[in-house]
Amino acid sequence: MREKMFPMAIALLLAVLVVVLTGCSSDEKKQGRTVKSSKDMSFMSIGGFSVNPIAKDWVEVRDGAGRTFVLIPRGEKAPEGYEPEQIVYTPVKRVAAYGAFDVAILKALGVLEDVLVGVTDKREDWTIPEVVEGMDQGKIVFLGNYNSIDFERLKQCEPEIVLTWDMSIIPMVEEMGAACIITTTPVAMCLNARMHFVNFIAPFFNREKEAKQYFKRVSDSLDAIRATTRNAKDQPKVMWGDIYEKRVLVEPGNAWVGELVGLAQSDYVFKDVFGMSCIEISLERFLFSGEDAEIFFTYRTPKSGATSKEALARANPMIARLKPLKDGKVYSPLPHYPQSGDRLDEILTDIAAIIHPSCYPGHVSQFFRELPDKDPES
Amino acid sequence: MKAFFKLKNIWAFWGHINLTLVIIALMVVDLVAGYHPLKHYPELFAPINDMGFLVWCKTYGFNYLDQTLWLFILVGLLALLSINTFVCTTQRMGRLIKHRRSFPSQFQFVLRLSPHIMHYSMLVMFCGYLISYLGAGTHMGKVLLPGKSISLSSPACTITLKSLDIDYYQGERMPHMERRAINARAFLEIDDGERQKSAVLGYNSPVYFAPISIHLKDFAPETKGGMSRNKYIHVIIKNDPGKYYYSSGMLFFTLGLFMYLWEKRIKTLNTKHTENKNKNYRPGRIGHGQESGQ
Repeated sequence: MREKMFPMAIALLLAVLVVVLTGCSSDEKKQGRTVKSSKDMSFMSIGGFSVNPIAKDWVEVRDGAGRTFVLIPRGEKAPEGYEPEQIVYTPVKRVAAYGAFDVAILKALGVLEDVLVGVTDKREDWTIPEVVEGMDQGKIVFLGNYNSIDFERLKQCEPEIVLTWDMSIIPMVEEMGAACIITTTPVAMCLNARMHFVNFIAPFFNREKEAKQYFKRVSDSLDAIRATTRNAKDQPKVMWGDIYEKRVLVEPGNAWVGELVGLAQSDYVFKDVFGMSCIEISLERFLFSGEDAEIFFTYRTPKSGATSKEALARANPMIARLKPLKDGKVYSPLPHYPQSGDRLDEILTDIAAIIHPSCYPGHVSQFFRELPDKDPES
Repeated sequence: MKAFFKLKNIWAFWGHINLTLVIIALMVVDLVAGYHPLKHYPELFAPINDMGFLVWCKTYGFNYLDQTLWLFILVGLLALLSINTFVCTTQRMGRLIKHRRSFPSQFQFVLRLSPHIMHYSMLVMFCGYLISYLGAGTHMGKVLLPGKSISLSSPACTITLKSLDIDYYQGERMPHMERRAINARAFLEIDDGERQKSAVLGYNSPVYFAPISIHLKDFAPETKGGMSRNKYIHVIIKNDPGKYYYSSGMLFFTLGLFMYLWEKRIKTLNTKHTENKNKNYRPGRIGHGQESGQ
């Protein structure tokens, strides 16, 4: 009998050990996600990205497409075992960038004015003063539309790295001797990855100190949101997305937006949807979830027709069925919102204040506009 | 002599069925514990495929032990299960070989080995995956545009995407699938100076060009209209020495399975035959004959 009990006892003991060590993670731990303290300069996983200090002043990074690059100080001999296109000399001096968030992160690191040489938005679409100024002075060049950039112009800019989401340009960029860094991932960035993305970009410019300061600012704002909304009485249901001509796009539950809504003591109606940012879902699901939502964040800006609830409904009659359009609140991003990644702390606070206005008396939104029922008569 | 008995006991311990049950029970518990980290932190586990297990251990594995410990335990349990399976199967094979003359035919003896062939095949598969995760070289993020080529330095070869055909959903039953890609076929040409190969690459349809295999990871555009994207394919190129082992393991496992089913079939037929024989054998008739003979 004792012989039979022995293996069972070992099994039970190990089972308890396994469960204790791996299975039990508190909510706070979950918020910590996969990123270690920024004080710790060891290996760091940031969503689909990673930063791995491999030797003194040498950092190996993995971009959103899983490609590895090694960052080494200028003048040093390239390490063995890497292809030439994997070597990036730091600090990088010339950058071309596709995404507004990438440009905003360059601003947060304090290098935008010195390094940015090319963008894929026209001058009139930019709200970041440094970019507008740079374009006026000819330091920053409009490379062409995101889907058909002018490679001759890009070559003339002589970028050392190109920050992009478009993988189709990798062969051309590598041909011109620059490194093509993919800054998006196949799944949407979670809140923590969004906050830590700066730590992925910082080693290219030796700006780890600035990255830490940025992260601390955002982290403090999250702590403040958690504390402020802890005792919120209501838990409004929030939806984020829009209906286009033939497609319905939303922010999935794994995206930073979905996580923030949950963190601010409210309910995100697409929390069960998993995948990439701006993920496509069925019209039925969108309308069903919209039946009891109270707050609706649309992707559309006033420029693309989001001037009032009535204007939205006119553009797409289906959307008129959503509860927020009948008796809830609809918010539209202001033009500078997508280019304000350097003020992520303020954006997070803004969203929390929209969800729980009673917790933030007197707060005036800086990044979103509440849509009136009707357009003012001119 | 004492040492011999000690070794015999150790051998018997490792091949005991109770040990198998304990290991499998622990694996179930471990996998249950691993469900949470695997679901919530997929980004920690996805890189194992391309960076190899050892590098993964040094980076993601050891730095996020809270989430990855279950995987290390699983690897340990799999190692124990492999030892247990090897010893157990070898013990039984030994016994079968010893009593091979008691089988009605040589063929039936060979068929009786089928479960053990499957077990050994499973071990070969495990070895293959181990070699694969320890020694595979992977080229990540290689993008091919129609009409363009990429060159690999190791092994030296050129891969050209001749053309890319994308099938879009044509039906009407699923409106949300309208204009979305459902299949892609990439026509490749591979050249290493000595050999040339033309092949069609697709999802679940990799192209082999020894010693590498090319796998389709992604392609664009995935939708017709909307945000216009350039045509390209994103491939992963693997140089995986383990594939020969796990492929042959799979082959022998299938062979073992067929042999096992064949043996079962023979057993069933034999049982039916014996039953029929018993039915036809009527002792009463003999008795009656005996009676009538009286």
